[in-house]
Amino acid sequence: MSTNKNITQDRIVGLVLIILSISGLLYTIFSSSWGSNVGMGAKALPQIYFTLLFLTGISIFLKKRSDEQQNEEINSVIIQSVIIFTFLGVFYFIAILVIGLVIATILYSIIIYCLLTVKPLKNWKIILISVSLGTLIIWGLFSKIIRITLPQPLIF
Amino acid sequence: MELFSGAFSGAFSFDVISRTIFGVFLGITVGAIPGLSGDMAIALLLPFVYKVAPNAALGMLVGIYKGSMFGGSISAISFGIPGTAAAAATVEDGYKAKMNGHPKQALLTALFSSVTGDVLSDIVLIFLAIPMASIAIQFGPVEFFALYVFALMLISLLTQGKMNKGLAAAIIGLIIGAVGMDPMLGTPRFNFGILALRGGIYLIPLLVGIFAISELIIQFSKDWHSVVRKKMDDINQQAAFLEYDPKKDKMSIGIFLSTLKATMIGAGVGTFIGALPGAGSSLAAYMSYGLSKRLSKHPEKYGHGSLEGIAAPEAGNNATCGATFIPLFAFGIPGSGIAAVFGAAMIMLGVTPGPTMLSENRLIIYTLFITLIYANFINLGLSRLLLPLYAKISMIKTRYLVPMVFALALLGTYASRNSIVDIWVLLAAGILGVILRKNNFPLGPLVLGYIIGPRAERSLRQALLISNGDWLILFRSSIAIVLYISALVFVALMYIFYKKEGKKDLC
Repeated sequence: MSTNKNITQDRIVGLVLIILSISGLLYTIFSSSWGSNVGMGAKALPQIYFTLLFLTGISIFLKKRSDEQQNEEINSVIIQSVIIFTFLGVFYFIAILVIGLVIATILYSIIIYCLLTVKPLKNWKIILISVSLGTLIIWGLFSKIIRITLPQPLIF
Repeated sequence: MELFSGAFSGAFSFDVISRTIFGVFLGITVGAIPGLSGDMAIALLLPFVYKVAPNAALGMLVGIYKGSMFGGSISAISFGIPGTAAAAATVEDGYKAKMNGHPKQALLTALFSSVTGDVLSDIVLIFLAIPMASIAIQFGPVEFFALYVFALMLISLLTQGKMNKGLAAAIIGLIIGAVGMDPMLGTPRFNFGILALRGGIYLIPLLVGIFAISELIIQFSKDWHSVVRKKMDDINQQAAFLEYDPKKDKMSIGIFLSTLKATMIGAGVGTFIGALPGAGSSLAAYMSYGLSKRLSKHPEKYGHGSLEGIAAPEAGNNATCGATFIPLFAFGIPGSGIAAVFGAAMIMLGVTPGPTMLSENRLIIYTLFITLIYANFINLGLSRLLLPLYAKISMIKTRYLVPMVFALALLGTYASRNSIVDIWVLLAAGILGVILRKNNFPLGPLVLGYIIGPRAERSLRQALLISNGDWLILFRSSIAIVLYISALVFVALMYIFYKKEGKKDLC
C-alpha cells in the first residue's frame, strides 16, 4: 500500500541526489587540477557517473507510488542516535590513543550499557563482570594474539 | 595427481580444519543473532587474514559464510525474527511450524535442506569455474568492459522492486571508486587537497563501515532486545497453553524425503540466481519458495507451517553460497556483497580473483574447492549438535554486543594500515550505510560499483586507446554484444516475474 510518508521521503531523496549530482558535475567541469585530457581524460567517467546519478535522482523524485515497507528497526533510527553513536565512537578511539585500550574499552562499554538499559545501576555486578570479560577478550585479542601497534598510551 | 594430493593434504591439515570449524561455529552464532550477519562477520575479520595462512584463512571465511546462511533460520524459526535477510522467507512457514508443535522438525528440515542446496551449488561451482575462466582468459578490454556493464546492470536491477535505488547505489559506489587517482594517467581526483586520499578510499574501512558499523548504529538506535523479549514473553505464554508432544516432533528419513522435491527446486533456483551478479540470497529464497509452492501437490499448506515451505527457501538461500563465487573466480567480478568481501580477502592473501587465478594459484584454489565441500558437513554436524545452544545465543543483548563488535571493527580497521584516516572513513561509511538503509537503498550495488568502477574505466579507456577514440569498438565484439543483450533479456524476465508475482514498483 502506498503511503504519503514514503512518497515524501523519496522526493527528498531524489532532490538530494539531483543536487549532489549537479554539484559534482560542476566541480568536475570547473576543476582545473585534474591534468590535461589525454585521450578520454580523467574527468570523463566521473561526469558520466554524475549525469546518471542526476537521471536516477529525477526518476526517484518523480515516482508516483511507493510500496516499500520499512521494518521497525530502520524506522527507529533518528539523527540523535546516529550523532551519539558516532560521537561515542570518536571518543572511544581517541581514548584508546590517549589513555589506553583497557581503560577506554571499559569506559566505552559502561557508557553503552547505561544508554541501552532502563535501570543500569540495578545490576551493577553484571555490568562489572560483563564489561571486564569483554575488555579482557578485546585486550587479549589485539595486544597479545594479533599484536597490533597502538601509540603509547598513558596507562595500558 | 600431485596437485590433487597436495590439495587434499592442504585441505585436511589440522590448521585448515580447525579454522573451518571455528568459522562455521562463528558463522552460525552470528547468523542466529538478529542484527548480525555473515558478511558483517567476514568484513570484521578481513583485517586479520594477514595473520593466517591463505588456506586456513579461506577455510575460516568459508565456514563463516556457510554457517551464517543456516544460522539466520534459527531465530527465524524459533522467534519469527529472521537472523539474516536471507532467512526472511523461512519465517513464513518456519515459525508457524514451531507454533504448531514441530520446532525440531522445522529446524532440522532447514538444516538438511540448507546443506543439500549448498553441496549441490559447490559442485556446480567446481565444474563451471574452470571452463568459464578458460573462456574469460581470451577476453580483451572490450569484452571486459561489456562484462562489467552486464554485472552492474544486473546488480542494480535485480534488487527486489527497488530498481532505481539499486542503480543510484551502484553509481554512488562508482563515484567513491573514482576517488584517488585516474587509473590510466595517475591524475589525482576528488581528493580535495587531502594527501591521504590520493590513494583512494581503502576497501576495508569502507566494507566494515557499510556493513558492520551501519548495522551497529541501527541496533543501537533501537533497543531491539526489548521487542524480542516481549515476543519471547508472548511465546512463553503461548507455549504454556500448547500441548507440546516431543513424540510428534521427531525427524525421520521419510519426512526428509517428503521435502526433497522442494529442496531440489530451491537448490536449482538458488544456484542459478547465485551465479547472477547482484541477485542475492534473499531473492533466491523467495523465488524458491514461490516456485516450490506452485509445483507442490499441497500448495494450500504453504504459509501454515509446511515443511516444504521451509525446505525450499533454505535450500535456495544456501545454494547461492557456492554459485556466488562463479563470477568472482571466472571473471574477477564479485557477484554479491559477500563475494566482494571474499575477493578482498583473497587479494590480501596474494590471490587475485579472475581468469588467471585458476592457473596461477591452482593449489590454493583446489584446496578451497575441497574445503567448500567438507565445510558443509562440518556445518551439518555442528548445527545438529549445538541447535539448543544457538537458540539461546540468539538472545544475547545488544548492550553487550555493541561495544564488543564496535571495538573489533575499529581496532581491526586501524590494525590493517595503522591509518587514522581509515577510522574516519569507517565512521563516515557507517553513517552513509545508515542513511542509505533508512531510505531503502540496497548496499550490495554500492560495494560492487566501488570495486568494478575502476576496472570498467580502465577497460573502456584501453579499448578507446586501441581504437583511437572510436566508440564503435565496444560493439564490434560478438561476446560483448551477447553480454549486452543478455543483460536486457534478464531485466525483461525479472520484470515479467515481478509483474506476475504481484511485486509492484520495479521502477
